[in-house]
Amino acid sequence: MGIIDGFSALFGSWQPVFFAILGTLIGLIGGAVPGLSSGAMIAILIPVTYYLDPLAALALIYTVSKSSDFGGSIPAILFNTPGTPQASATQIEGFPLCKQGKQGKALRMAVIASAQGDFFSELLLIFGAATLAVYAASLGPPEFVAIYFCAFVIIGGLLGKSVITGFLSVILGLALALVGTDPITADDRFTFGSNELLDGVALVPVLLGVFVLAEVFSRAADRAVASYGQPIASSSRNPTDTYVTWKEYVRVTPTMWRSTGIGAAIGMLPGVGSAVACFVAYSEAKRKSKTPETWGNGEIEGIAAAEASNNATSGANLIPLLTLGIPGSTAAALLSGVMLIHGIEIGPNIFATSYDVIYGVFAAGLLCIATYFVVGYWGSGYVGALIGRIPASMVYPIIFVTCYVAVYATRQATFDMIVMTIFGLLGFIMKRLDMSLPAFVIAFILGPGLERAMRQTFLLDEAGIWLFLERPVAIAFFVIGFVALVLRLRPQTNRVI
Amino acid sequence: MGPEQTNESNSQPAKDLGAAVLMLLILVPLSTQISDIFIDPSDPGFGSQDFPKLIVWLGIALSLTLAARAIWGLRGPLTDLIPDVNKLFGPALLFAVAGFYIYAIGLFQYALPTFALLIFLTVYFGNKGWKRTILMPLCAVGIYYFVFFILFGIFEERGTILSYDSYGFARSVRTLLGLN
Repeated sequence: MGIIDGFSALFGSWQPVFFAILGTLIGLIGGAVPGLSSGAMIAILIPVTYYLDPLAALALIYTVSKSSDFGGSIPAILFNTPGTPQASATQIEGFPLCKQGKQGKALRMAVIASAQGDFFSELLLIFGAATLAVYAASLGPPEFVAIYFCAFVIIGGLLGKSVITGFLSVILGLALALVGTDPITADDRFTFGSNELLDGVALVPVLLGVFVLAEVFSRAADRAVASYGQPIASSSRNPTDTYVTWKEYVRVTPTMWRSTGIGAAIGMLPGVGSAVACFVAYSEAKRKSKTPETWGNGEIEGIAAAEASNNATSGANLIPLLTLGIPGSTAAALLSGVMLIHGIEIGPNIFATSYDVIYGVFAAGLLCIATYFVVGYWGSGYVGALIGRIPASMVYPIIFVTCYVAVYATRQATFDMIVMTIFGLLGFIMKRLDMSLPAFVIAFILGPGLERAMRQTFLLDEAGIWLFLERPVAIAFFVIGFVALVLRLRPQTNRVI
Repeated sequence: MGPEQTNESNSQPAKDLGAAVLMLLILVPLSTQISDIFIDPSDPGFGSQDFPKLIVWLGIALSLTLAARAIWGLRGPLTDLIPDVNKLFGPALLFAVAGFYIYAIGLFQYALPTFALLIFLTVYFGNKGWKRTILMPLCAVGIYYFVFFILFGIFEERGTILSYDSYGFARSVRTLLGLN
């Protein structure tokens, strides 16, 4: 059975299990640190993965992304500032509870709901992805062209502030992925005579530049750094205010399951992240509540809904990556970057070619949930106190310099430092112009796959573009793409297209 | 329409125009290179130039559409389109400092420029006092050096002005720690 083999691989040597636990702790604390997004945190760690075996590398990155989802809820509850966008809904009910001195109850509700949502999502990934991958493995290049088309339409349409700037972000990613050599003729293209560009624009400098340096440039533009300070209220002395009672747990359980379902369903869609899931689940829970008037004043059911849903996306959004090779979120895109670095083929064949590694990563995910549940249940207050002491004015200088040493560490090439700086500036400008950085990076990663699939399709048959009409699965994905585009355009025809 | 409303109404068109210009600045130079891509005469399918053409020309067409729509949507004085110089100063400064840092590594190797850069950045982001502006950068350089050069064994080119055998030193420390 796959997951048993996964645990054997994970515990087979010290490295994977050590980095899975380390990743969980880094994500938990990093997700709570002001101004450090989980994407930035993962991007900084990617160069370190060069020095690890593939399972340890993926376990590190995967567990950071999982536990940062919960970590972001700690400052949302204690300081009224979500550490990550997906903790925004948690803040609505969590901070009022904190003001009443019930931060212990709020934090424990958050960790229970997070762990439950995450666990269900992980089970869905473990038992669902391999089944879907068996079917996906039988798809040919024309189907993959249609899948890429569908993914780009959805990602470009949903991740951009407007559809057209979202698409432009995708096109920019695809265009820059073309730099290097032609995959069939091996002749150089778009290199402008530079030998360093013959291998293409390296992935790590792009990721670090776009996700980390761009953030530092933004802070430098605003000259504004956020610090949390200290929690505003001291903890209540009443013991029942410091934990979730059995009665409360039973009351919120239906909401947690419903929100878990919402989160898992939303998480499977490319481009729709946990930040959307938490608000959908929160609104749905409030709508179903018999006492909606109490919401906004510290209703633990709201925390349960938000946290169960946002964590339920974390496993589910790997399903498109592992079955179709489409990373549907920033974290999945970064994970796919690490897979490419370690020579792991992304897509449905991954279960055949990297069986131990993939099931090892799933096992690392389960270990991560258990670890952050234990640490979060008994130690969230300490994490809160710790991050309250971290001055954000020190965070940016450190991450700026870490980027340079980390990118140099990957290939010992000064050229990569220059590329990273240029992409940092590009990312900063794109952010200011409301273009989508995740859409850009996903397209940059998937660009070679799309080109390969298109060229293979046209080599398959002289029918050319008409070949797609003979493939029902391809037609289905084209139709889904067009429908998604029409739906995205419809409500905003009167404003921004 | 008051001045604030004018500013607000021009904000989105100005951003769209900026996005279109940014795309054209990247895609137009790429488009000039397409004809230089080698075509394999025996390639029966979608040729070497076809995919780049599709992406680049689609991008240019979308950018021109966005630019036209943005210009059409502009309201009020065009001076609103000029970006706030104060907002650009910080990133421009960091960009220049980063360039200088990369150049300085070639001259002095890694440690000294990194220490200087950290001092500059901590001061720039508003830190005061010797603990944060001197001690913290010193400790950070030590940690970077230990993790990347000693633990990971990164090789460092010798500097043209200040030159020392960083790799040899790291190797002796690794031997001392039993890591080799």
